[in-house]
Amino acid sequence: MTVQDIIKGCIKNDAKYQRLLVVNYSPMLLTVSRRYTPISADAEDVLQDAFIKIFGAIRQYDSNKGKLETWMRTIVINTALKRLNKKCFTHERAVEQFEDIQLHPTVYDHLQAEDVMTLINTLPDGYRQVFNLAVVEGYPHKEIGELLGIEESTSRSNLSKAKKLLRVKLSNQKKQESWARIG
Amino acid sequence: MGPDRLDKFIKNQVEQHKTPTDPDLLWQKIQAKQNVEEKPKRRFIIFWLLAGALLLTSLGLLYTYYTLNNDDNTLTSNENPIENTSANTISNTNTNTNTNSNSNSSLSSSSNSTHLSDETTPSSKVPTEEKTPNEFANKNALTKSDYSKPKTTNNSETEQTANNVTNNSERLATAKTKTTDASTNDTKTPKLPTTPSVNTDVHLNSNKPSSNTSTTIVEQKNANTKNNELPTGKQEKNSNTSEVNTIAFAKSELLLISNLDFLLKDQDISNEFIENQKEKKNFPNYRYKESYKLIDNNWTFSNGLAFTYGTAPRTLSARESTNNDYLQSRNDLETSLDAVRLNLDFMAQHRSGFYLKSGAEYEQINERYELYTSWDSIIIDPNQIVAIVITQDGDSTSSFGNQNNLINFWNNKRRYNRYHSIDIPILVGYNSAKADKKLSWFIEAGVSMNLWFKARGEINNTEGEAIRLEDNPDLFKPRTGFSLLAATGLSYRLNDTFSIWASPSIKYHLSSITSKENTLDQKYLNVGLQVGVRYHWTK
Repeated sequence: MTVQDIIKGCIKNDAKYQRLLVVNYSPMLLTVSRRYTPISADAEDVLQDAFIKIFGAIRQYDSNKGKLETWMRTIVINTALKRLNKKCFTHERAVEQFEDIQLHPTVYDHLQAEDVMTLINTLPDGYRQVFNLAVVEGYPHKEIGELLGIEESTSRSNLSKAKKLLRVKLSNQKKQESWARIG
Repeated sequence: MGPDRLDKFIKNQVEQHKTPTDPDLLWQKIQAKQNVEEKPKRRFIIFWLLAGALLLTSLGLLYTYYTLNNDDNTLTSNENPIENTSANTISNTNTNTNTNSNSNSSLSSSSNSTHLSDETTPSSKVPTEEKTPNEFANKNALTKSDYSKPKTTNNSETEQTANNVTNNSERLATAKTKTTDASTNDTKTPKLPTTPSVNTDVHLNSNKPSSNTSTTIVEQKNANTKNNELPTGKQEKNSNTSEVNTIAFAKSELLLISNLDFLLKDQDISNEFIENQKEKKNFPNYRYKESYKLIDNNWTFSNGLAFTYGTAPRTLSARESTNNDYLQSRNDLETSLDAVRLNLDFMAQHRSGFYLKSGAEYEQINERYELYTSWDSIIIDPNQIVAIVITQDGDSTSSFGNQNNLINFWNNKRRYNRYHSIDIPILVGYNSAKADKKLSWFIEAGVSMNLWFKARGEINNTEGEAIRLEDNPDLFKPRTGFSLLAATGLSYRLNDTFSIWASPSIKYHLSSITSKENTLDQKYLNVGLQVGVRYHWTK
């Protein structure tokens, strides 16, 4: 069974094919949802809502414009962003200024995907959204600004701060691991 | 390492990462959400269907009401033409005989052409005709004081009539005399006496009408002999035939014109009165009175809006004895709270005090579901100090590892279950209302058709698991049922238009609100206090 078959089945509102779509893509899309919605229960809610939207809008999907996976990721991201209060982007609390730390390459050696996810989720909301959109999804700042309702410059600034904060956290994590080994 | 390295690393790690999840559970939740999202549409349709039905009913009743009201007005305006058939008969008689009476036709068509042309059998109207002109004259004389002038004649009312007639008649009567054909008029004039009770004596100087014309209206018994000969049909053809015919024609014309004149003036007065009422903002009351008169005070109509708040103790019963344990658990976990009802009704009340009432009612029954659960779990806390080693030098080193903690979790789940229905009640009642008393009592009873269209909340299933009603539509499908209604209370009339009432109300649902798939029957007895306000269309 190909992706096209699943799409056709979903267009016919066939529950069997809808379920197949959920089974095949939910792990990947749940990761996307979790990056924007750190609380696990909320992330699942977002994913459920996103799938309902996907079923409703799958007729509009054009395979010539991109992969189904990309199209569904976009829907998940939009659903997650809609749930968040946009005020958190415009009134982000001030984060203390960190110096730009240069990380040693070994920092990444023991980091798994789940660790990275956890690390990203420790970022403040505004930084996390911009970081995800810019770094993981590859959205330009202009588009991020439109999506989040913030200025383009704010997007750039938030991304820069997010990266600095991540480096600090990675550096601190590395120090803790060193201490643990010594102990 | 530059910033790009960090970006690439994170992107590679995260982009294709898959979070372990239970797709089947997720699929079930999605289906449940889909059902919940589809439901409102269905409810929406039901709601609008009922609202539409209610609106149509109201519009129909309003239409009926205004139609009746208009009929009443028509009757009122027809009153004069009916009473004035004598004049119309005469005019028709002359129209038949006098082909040149164009002015007559044109005048008739101005306002009362229908009534005039309809009268073709004057003899059948004799009883009415003998009385009505005088009555009509009296009526107009009484109402049109501005037009009356003092006269020396004994009958002042007829003088006023004559006065009104004179000015209008002179001009036309003169014109007619010039074209009247004497021979044809001979055959028709005997019909004249059957019509008027007011005998009009017109003395014309045939071709010099206006300045020398004098008109006198006297009662029948005082009429002179010459004129009395006309009705009997015993008149002889003589040289004065032309004059007689002219007189007869003039009489008919005078009567016609005078009545038209009255009609027009009466209409003017009516319009003036209505305008005055409108300015005084009393116009609605004026209309009420008319409709009140029309319906002969037998029926009055009103709309009511009521709110009922009370309790709704329920009766759960197992369809099979094997479900008694489940029944017990449901009773333990669910508590009846309260019930609200919102009612919009239409009421038709007979003068005897009995009334019929129907409309639409929304009902919501609220319950509480409370489930306390507790469980123990071992939580593994990583990177905790599990040992501290003190060396001989006195230095201490900590040993890190996983720490197992036994934690007791508890959860008190509380949900509020709501059952919604839309009802169509039909009630019969009695109200002791009297015109001179504002306070009255009433008693009513009836049946109601219920449409249970929605259930929300949580219950335990037969396995003892909490399930959401929204996720299990089979348990509470939209279904219809019947209930019995009864109420008795007091009503207080605030003014001619509004009244308020309060009454204890009881509603017993005969049917279970659960579907056949459910193992339990669930019935309610709704007891509450009802308060409402009523708008009275008619007094």
